[in-house]
Amino acid sequence: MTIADTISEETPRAGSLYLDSFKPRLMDWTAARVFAAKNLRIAMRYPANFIIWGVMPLLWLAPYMLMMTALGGPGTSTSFTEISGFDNFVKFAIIGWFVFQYVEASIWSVGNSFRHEQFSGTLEPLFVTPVPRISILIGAALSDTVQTSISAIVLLTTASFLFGVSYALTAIAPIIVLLLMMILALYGFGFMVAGMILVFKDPSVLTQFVGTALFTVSPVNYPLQALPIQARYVAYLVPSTIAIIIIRELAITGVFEIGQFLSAAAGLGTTILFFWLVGIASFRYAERWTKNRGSMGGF
Amino acid sequence: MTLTVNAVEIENLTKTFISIRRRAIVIPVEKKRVEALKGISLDIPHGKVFGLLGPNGAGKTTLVKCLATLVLPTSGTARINGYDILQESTHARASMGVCQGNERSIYWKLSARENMIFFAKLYRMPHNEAKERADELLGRMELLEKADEKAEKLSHGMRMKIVFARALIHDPPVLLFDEPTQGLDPTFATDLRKYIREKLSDKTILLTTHYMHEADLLCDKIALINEGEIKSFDTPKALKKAVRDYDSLHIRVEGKPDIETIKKMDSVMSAAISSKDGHAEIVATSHDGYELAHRLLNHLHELPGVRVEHFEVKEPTLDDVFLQLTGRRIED
Ligand SMILES: Nc1ncnc2c1ncn2[C@@H]1O[C@H](COP(=O)(O)OP(=O)(O)OP(=O)(O)O)[C@@H](O)[C@H]1O
Ligand SMILES: [Mg+2]
Repeated sequence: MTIADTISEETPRAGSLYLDSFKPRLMDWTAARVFAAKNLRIAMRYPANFIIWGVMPLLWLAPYMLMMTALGGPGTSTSFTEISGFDNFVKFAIIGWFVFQYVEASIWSVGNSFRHEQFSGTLEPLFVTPVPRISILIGAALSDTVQTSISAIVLLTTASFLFGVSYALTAIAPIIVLLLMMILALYGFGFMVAGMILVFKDPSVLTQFVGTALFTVSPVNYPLQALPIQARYVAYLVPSTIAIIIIRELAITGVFEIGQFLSAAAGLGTTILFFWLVGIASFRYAERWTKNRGSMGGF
Repeated sequence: MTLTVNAVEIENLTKTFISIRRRAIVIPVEKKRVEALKGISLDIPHGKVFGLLGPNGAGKTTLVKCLATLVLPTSGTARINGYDILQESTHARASMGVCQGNERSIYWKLSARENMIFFAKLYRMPHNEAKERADELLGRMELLEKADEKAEKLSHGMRMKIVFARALIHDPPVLLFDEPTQGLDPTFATDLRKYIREKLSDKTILLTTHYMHEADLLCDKIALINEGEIKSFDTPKALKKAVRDYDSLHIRVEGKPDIETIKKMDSVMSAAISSKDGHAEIVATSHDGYELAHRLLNHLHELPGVRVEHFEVKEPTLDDVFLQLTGRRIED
């Protein structure tokens, strides 16, 4: 046997410890975690973020509270109680704002993260790694949920303290489950936004419109019954509406009803499936579109 | 280990960019087609450094991006380390490191070390291993002292070194370097070239450049690319030989050596002398200018009253090659 024979029996590829054990995966959780940790680390290096996390949501909320109290008197109004079935509208609105923090953040988080990568020039290097795209998308979403949790919890505690309201903690477990399901469903929408960011780079007009419309039809400051009937249908199409309503009830009354919980969970489960399928499909489409145009590195 | 297939195989790769200019976002007003690559085929054997040399807009970056899976080719395909870039893109990505010579492609808010560790982990390296590898590479780039500085506080050259080191983080067999020394100050550029030559000799490298001397110095083979087509492809030496089969040797001396003796020396094709004020300028041509320089300088050294003041071997340059092939210079 000659040397040439032994050579031709060798593997035709160059190997290394890393390459030899390399197997493509559908999802790489380590990568998602590492990506999320990186985002948080960078976020902490912008000191202005602390102001945003701590103070901004309260500043948005306060004028609504003040207006409500000015109109209805401290805490309550008969008209409000009639429509909504709750007696304290400050208590009603604050928990709505708490949930809406997650709604808004979950929708834009992934897109914002991609926009940031685009600006910093790191999108291409990320796409050159063998990490599944979905891991990067999920990592981006996770880091944002952590940040949102800080600001949402700060908002909830300071607002409760300032306006003197408190919530029942007896149904905390189902609240967390529904909140997580809602966040998960909105991640799917977020993937679609990330795809739009790849294609349009700065779709700010569009996103502002969607964001504002969403806030308008979400029963955050008002009970759903206050919406004109047509708008109420639109509101029910938004997956967060049901979550806001049920979580609010659980937090105010503290009474857990299994039937109501299960139907809400089933509704959210369906939206998770729907949004994830649509979200991932549109992101993939956007990635191909961008690679065809050769505009991955642009911003 | 000798390997039997090429590390990079490019098969008839084409890329046509179609850009549509629109008014009011939707109404198309103008459709522009740019054929950035017009059927590129190339094989790079394992362990070789391959240069792509061409002027602005030749298609170098487009080719690198196609291989890096950042741009989808219009037709044709390529294999990196045996993996098809379209069918087995994940494996192909795991097999290559890419350096696009852009200092913005790292996180400026993270330190050099944090950047390296982050990318190492995306290649599934456990934390300790990632840290060791990061330090090893930063050490080789002489950046260890600055490892904990945020990238925004480093100099341009240092950031470029991080970008370069990042491409090596998972020790890939194939490296794609798109103008790695672009905009670097000469010392940094020299360091980097030295590193590529000495420390990456077992890697297969595709390197694009504007700089002829860089291509000449680093590459085993060079493809001259213009308007999306490979015009010629050979060793730097053979490319230059094809333009002009000889070098010219220019020597300035004090004194006046006898030109007839020089003309009769081995391998001299022609020789001429012009003298003025006790100094003389000799021009001799030969197939191997350096070999002749060696003998001729020895000869002159032994002549009484003759002192060599300056000498220079002029070979045809890659730019001459390019000019002959395309009617255009590389560095316009
Ligand atoms: N995303 C794109 N959309 C449209 N045209 C493009 C795109 N990217 C590159 N081109 C065009 O393709 C051609 C090749 O460009 P490319 O960037 O590959 O050249 P290059 O050889 O890298 O040039 P340089 O030396 O300036 O870096 C150019 O005419 C360029 O304008
Ligand atoms: Mg280029």
